[in-house]
Amino acid sequence: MKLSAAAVFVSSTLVLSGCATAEKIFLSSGPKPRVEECAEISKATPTRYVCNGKTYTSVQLTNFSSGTGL
Amino acid sequence: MKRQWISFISIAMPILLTIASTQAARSQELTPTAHRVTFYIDKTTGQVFMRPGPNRTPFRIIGEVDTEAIGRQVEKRVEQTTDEKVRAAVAQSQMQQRANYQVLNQKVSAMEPAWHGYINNFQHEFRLGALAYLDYAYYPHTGYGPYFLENLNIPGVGNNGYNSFDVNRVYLNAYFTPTDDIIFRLTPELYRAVGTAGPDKLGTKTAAASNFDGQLNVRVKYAFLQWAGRFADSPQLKGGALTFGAQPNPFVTWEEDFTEFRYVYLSPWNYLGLSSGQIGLQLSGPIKGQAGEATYAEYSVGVFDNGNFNNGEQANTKQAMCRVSLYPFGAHWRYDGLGFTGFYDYGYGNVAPDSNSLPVPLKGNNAHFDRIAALVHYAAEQWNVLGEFDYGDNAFSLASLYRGSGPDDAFGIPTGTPFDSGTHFGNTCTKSTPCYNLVGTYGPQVAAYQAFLNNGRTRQIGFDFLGRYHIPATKLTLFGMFQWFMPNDNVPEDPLDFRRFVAGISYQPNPYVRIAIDSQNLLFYHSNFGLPVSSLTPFNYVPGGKFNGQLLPGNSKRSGSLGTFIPNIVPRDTHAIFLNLEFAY
Repeated sequence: MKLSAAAVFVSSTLVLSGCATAEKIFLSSGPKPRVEECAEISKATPTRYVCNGKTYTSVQLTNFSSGTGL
Repeated sequence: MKRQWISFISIAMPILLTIASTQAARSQELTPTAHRVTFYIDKTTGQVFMRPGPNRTPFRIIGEVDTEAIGRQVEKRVEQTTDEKVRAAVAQSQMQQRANYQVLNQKVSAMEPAWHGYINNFQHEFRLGALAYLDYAYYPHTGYGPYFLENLNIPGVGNNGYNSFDVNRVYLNAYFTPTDDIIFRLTPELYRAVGTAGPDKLGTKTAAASNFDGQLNVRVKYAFLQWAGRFADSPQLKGGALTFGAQPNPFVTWEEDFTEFRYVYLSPWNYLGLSSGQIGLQLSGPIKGQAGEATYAEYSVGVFDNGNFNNGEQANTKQAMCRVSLYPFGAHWRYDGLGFTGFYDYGYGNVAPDSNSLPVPLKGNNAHFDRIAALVHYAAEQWNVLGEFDYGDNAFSLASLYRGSGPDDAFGIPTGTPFDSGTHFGNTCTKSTPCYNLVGTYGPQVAAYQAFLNNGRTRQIGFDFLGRYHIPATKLTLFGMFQWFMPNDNVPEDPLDFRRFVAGISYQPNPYVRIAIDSQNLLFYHSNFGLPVSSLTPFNYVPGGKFNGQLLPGNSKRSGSLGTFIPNIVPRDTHAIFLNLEFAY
């Protein structure tokens, strides 16, 4: 009984921590505009995206996500 | 009065003499100093007194000058004067220096923009980027056909479980923009060389193996000059450009950018053999509304070599391509909203004029070709969808079918065990002229495909659907592509009719990297059947003709042999699971 409870506890912890990690990885987060919510319109140098009707480059979107803005 | 002056002189003279002697004595020992003595003479009596009093007039006598003191004073005065002069000179010098420094500063400042200007302008006039498509693919079921992605030449039938890591595209993009209306782009790319050049002989007894086959080499994909100044002053046509050189053609790159998943799958006509790069001259641009904000049409029209960017040109004719996209509700960004696109390509086989002029029953690959695509598409920021109808004439050949890999028989190497004696399938077989077997070989099948695809009168029909959907609040996007293609709809039941589909999910952690897992499939969807030789003769299959040095089944002089069935005429499917990775900067 004790062993199975411990096993449940450990496996739950692993699953939950894995879920938490997976959420962090796969869920959208951070300042907007976010690249995953944009449409890619040109595979140029740099790549260009459209977010909420405005065009941004990949460099500009990186600056937004890091908080340094434009 | 006389007695008064005598009294004065009798008193003053001794005093004067005393002073003089004192001064003389002192002069031997010390530096003489300036000396002044004052007497007081009584006006009534004439007596000389040392001190002032009533009725006494002062009488001054100056002794010898004190040169030391004077010298010191002069020195002091000179020093003062010199100091003042020096200070004035220094001040003036400093002022001059400041003025000179200001001038120098201005000159240096005038020089700096040239240097800074070069660096600043360089960073505004030059861009360098990179693009890489990497993948791991596992093939639970291998077959022959076009490659799923560039540089993926897989071993065909009988190699289930084949898997590999690959680099299927690497670009280094360099853009030079010395002025606002000129761009020069240079894009070298990696490609895998495929070939079996022989070993190299060194001297009389030594050889070294060839390292040609399988190497990742560098070639130029794009090298073009683009001028966008012609329409710069027109709000409706601004953005139009003239491009000369090795460049993206009017259609393939446009569609690849629409799909957003070139790193996973090839667009329909690209999969069928239309390269994304051509060498030629192109005019392209938008047509905007009155206000110049929304785009209502786009055009790309050009004339190019008949060969692809990676072929040398042989023909004396050229191919023309044209794409027009219409956005009836106005597009505020590229592909925005509902759009209709038409593409037309007309050209000739890449053959030298003297070869092309030789009389032949059918032109085969030397014939003219054309490609048409008609598309309806809709793009939003979170999703897009596209439907396409394809039509072509002589636009899909045996080489297009086996662009990935094919049986040896398609490349001049006969397979199977031939008949080298007796009569088989209407032909007399000998050791010098063996006959193709019907089993254990791909010879007769490949000859049939060659007849269906290379006769110079083929007609292609296809339908495609593709799209993507971003899962809200995630970094994940679903995507899919379905292509149905009939390589020659003049064939009543063409064993080469196929369907290709791709389905997968993509993850984007940042603007530079994407990762996708997907399934890619090529299905020759007819049930397998045997094809009678008689059905092949209208397509330039020659019964009993030589193919790879062996005689093909059937003989026109023996009509019964035309009923010989070539078995297993439908090719095998190919299935793969891909892990694709894109880096773009």
